[in-house]
Formats: sequence, structure tokens, C-alpha cells
Amino acid sequence: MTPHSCDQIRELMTGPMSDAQAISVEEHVEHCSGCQEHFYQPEFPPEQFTQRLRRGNAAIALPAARTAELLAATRDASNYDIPSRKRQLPRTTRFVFIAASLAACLILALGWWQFTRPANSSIGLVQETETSITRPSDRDNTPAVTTKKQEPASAPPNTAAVANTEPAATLFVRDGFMVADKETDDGEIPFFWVLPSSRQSVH
Amino acid sequence: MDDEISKHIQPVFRFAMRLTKSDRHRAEDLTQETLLRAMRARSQLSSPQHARAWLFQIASNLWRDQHRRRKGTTELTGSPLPEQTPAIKAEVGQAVMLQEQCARAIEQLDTLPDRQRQVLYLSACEELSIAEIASVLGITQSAVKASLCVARARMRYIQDTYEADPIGGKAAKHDPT
Repeated sequence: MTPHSCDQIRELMTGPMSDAQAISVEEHVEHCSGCQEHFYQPEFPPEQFTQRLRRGNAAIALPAARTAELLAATRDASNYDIPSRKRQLPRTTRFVFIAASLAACLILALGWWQFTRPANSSIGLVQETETSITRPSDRDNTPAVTTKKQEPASAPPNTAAVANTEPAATLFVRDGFMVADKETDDGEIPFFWVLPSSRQSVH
Repeated sequence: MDDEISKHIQPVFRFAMRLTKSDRHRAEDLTQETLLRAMRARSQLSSPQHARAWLFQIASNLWRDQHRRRKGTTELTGSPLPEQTPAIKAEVGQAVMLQEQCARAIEQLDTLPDRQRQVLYLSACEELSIAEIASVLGITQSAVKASLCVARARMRYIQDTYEADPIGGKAAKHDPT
């Protein structure tokens, strides 16, 4: 199509236009400031067709039921299409979950450390020292005590019993065990495991 | 934010009706697709005041994409105006007459080429500014002004011709040359 002059455009604008002519005129007006100034009125009173258009447009509406249907379908589709959004927990819940997980891990770690820790605090206090205790004599069945048997004052002291007493066995504390330095009559070396809690009291 | 989007469903539907030239089913589909896209991209909406223009922009882009895909296929047009004889016109009341005139104005608007129709609709019915229309349609403000001038001139002519001769005027608007 041949380009139009401004006069031709002004003539075309007042008469009938085919779609092709209208598009051609549109192109001219778009690039011609003179024509744009001439035709374009930013603040003009609404014309009759404008009022009719507004009324006619206002009469077009989606029925309420259809609107609700459409919105529900759209919301469903929107949620369905964003799986991450659907699965995502609220921020507070996520924070509580993470904090609880960390606390649980901490408790487990402390428990494990406490369980596997050697009882060094007790062992450290136990020194490998000699401990003397008296051993009950097989002959006179005297109790295994270190204290002297209290005799009544009137009775004479039993010197024979004292003389027959065998030397006491010596126990060594070693690696958590109390080990005797002498064998028993059965040929065994007695030993006792010392509980960590009672090691401190053994000196 | 979803409520902010969904409260504009009626304006979006009306705009979709103009884009589709009164094809109700297509307009409903376009409306739904527009709202869906808007909900997905809700973070792009800067402020609720611009929601309507933003939704129109989405609808316009969607329609343009659909139009491009349909290129080559037969284009459906809106239903033609019902024939009205002077005898029938005389019988209907003033309100009904006004309603018919308004409906006819909308149908006359649908006879304009795409860009002129959209620009005139957004300006006259939605009262968007030139800058907003340019943003919605993705064209320059000069192009909006030019389209608006030509669309107004054509509507004026179509209406005047129809008022002067209701039967001949309807034929004249389809064959202006």
C-alpha cells in the first residue's frame, strides 16, 4: 500500500475504512506527530459509543456459580502444579523440627560420650599401693579383721593363738583389680575386681 | 495475594470476551489460564494497585500466543447481530432498546482489527491510561494513541451509519470500500 499524505489520512478518518486502510492509517498516525496532535484528544467527553460500550461491557459477567467453579479449579491447578509449595511446612514448624532434631542429636552424643568414657576420675585417684589385710587363719577360724580380738580383762591373753597366726596376705591394686601376692591352699591367686565407685575408698 | 488476583476475575473475563470476539468458551478458558499464570507468578506483581493491568497483560500475551499457534486454522467469529425489524423495535421498551444498543456497541467493537479493538476497549471500558495500555499490549505509546484515534473514528462512523440506516448501516460496516 502506498503511503498516505496527511490530507489523505484526515479524509480517510472521516469516512468508511477497510481493515487494511485502517491499519495503514494507524501506521501513519503513529509516526506523524502532526496527525497525532490533530486526532488525539486525551481529555474529551465520552462519546455516545463510549457510554454504550461501558454499559454493554458492564452487562457481561460470569455467573456467580461459574466464577466460583473457575476459581476453585484454578486454585487446585495452582497448588497441584507447585509440588514444592504443597509439601513445604510452615516456617515455625520447620524451625521446631530442626531444633528438636539438633537437641536429640546432642543428647545422643552426650550419652555416648558418657557411656564410653573410661572412669578415669576414679582410677586416677587409685594408686598402686600395697594394702595389708589379715587373712582368716585356716586353723583357728578367726575372722579376717585387722583389729585385735578384744578379750575380757579378767581372762589371760591367748598367746598361742597369736603366735600361730600366719603372716597376712598382701593385696595389690593393679589395673582395677586387687590381686593377692600369695596363693591360697588350693593354689589359686585370689583377685577381686574393684568397682570404679569404690576405688576411691581403697588405699 | 491470590484474593487480590481472583477479585479481578470479572474484568479479566470481559477483556477475554473482547479478545476472543465474544466467544464465551474461549473467554472462560483464557480467563482461567490467565488467573493460573498469575497465581504462579504472583511474586512478580509489584503492588496490588497494578494487579488489573498486570492481569490484562497476561491475558493479552496468552491470547497472542494462542493466536500464533492457531495461525492457518479457520478463525471463529462471534455470532452475528440478530436481525431487527422496525416493527419489533417499536414494541420493545426504552430500557430494552438501550440494552440492545449497548450490546450492539460491543459487537461493533468486535468488528475492529485486534489492536484497535483492544486499545479502545482498555481505554473506554477499563479506563486505563495510555502508558498502561502500552504496557499491557507491549507496544509504544505512540502506537496506542494512533490505534485509539483510528478506532474512535471507525466506531463513530459505524454508529452514525447505523443510526441513520439500521439495516443498511450494518451491511456498510462490513464493506466500507
